[in-house]
Amino acid sequence: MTGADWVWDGLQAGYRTPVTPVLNVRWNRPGLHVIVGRNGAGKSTLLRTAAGLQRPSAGQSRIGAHDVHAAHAHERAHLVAFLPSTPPRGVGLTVGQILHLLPGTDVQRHQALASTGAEGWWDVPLSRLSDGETQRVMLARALFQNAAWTVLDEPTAFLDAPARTRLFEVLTAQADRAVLLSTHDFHALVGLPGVVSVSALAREGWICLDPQGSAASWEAACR
Amino acid sequence: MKVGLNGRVHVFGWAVAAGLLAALHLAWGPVDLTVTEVWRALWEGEGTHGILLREVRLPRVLTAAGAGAALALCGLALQTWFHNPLAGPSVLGITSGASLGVALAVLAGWTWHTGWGFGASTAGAVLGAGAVLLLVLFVASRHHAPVTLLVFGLMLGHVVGAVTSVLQVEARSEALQRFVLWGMGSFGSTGLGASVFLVGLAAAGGGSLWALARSLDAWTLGPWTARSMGVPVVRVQWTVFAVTGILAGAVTAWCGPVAFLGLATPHVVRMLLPDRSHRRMFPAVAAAGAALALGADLFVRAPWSATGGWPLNAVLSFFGAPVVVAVLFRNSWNG
Repeated sequence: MTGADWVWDGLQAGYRTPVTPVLNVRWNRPGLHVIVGRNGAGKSTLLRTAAGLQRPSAGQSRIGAHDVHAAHAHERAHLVAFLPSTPPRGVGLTVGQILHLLPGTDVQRHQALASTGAEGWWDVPLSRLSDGETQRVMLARALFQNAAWTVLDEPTAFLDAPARTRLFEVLTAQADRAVLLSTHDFHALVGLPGVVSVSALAREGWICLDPQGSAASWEAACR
Repeated sequence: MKVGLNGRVHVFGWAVAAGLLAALHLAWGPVDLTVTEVWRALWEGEGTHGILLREVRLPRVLTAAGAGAALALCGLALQTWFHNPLAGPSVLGITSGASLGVALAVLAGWTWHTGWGFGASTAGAVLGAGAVLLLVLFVASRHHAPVTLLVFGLMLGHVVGAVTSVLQVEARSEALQRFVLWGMGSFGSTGLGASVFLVGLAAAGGGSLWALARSLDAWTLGPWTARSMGVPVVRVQWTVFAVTGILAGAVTAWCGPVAFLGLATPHVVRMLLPDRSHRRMFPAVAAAGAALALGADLFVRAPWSATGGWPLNAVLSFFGAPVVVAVLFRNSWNG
């Protein structure tokens, strides 16, 4: 299922008033897709809406044959796994208990934790970890969910430099995994071979950028 | 797994404590009975001991255990749902709604009673709690943010409380006294039928909440993550509100607006039980709620009281308030 066609059909994100333009986008390749844009451009709202977690102002988001907003909650969990930009606080569950909320084997759970540098905390309550450490566990959760698409909202915001580098390595190494992420850290992405597409969400609309282009050209598109 | 064993031992410990306290309640009082006398009187007693147990002590023990468990379950479910350690059965305005219903019934002078201890004030409490619950559910269907609901419930409680106090001022004195007594809380004003019903209700409510344990675990990770992991958020929310509304409404109807048990019991359990999964927490909290309610009722029935009993809510506040303060201090120290 991973890498299934994802179609944004006239999709517009927002609450009572729309915050993004009407978007017609088709994602039809696995790999790492990147959205850039300035603060307040509506990236987070757009990602949550596209992932089916909040109602769109207009349009549809479809993965394969499924409208993500019409799908049942457990069905949607197979279509999209979403990581919010801020880590949760005050969670008393241990890392192992959290990963046990999703189906899979313990071997896969430990693999997911190792891939984000979160191994060794299996019996530790999440509330004992720092924000950055918590976010690494939550990243492992999103990857372990193994949905058709994995959507990461600013996954590097709380990570230190080594963890950030490691995350991009892991994501670009799994060419068959379909990932859509938003980031301000695009300097770290420039020149990485696994980046399939880069798009900017700007006030005027959606701008497709050259994935092998320079950071300066991406930055210019965000204005 | 080590954590699982600890959890089970913990639940077992609270259940044993509740059982011992229940036995103490049945045996101890103005007429002291031995355990064998209690046992015999419960099953075959037609004499005064049998009547005393079946009509006074057993209903009181069952009511305390059922109400304590029900309120503690409500407290845990609401604290998880609102991501707020100070949420409790009273926060949604349910207790206030029940109070308004009782105030209307009692202060209007309606005094009918049935054999189940179900009278005008019980009917008023159930209707009042139900009306507030419907209002909260109506708001919940439009506004999903937990904080909005929390503040709405609190404000609703204030308005209902204001109406109640206006009614009190306008009331006749004997009706007012009955209302004030109800407001102090008591496990001693239910018949056997009602007390058995309350225990059954607590068990059914606990079962419905236990079925949501994994969803509520995921909910602690935040609303977006929970949704993304496949939690049917709307269904979970309606179940939590319906169960807590019915349980808190029923308890308030029969026992008055019982203070602190719902709010403080989950914290007492958290201090002793490291496992935070709802699969473990719900049974532990239910058993602890029953044990703490029975323990508090021992002080209510204290032999050193000259007037035949301290107010339940006064006893619960003596114990509950320090627990909440301790929780606040622990939280601010541990970050």
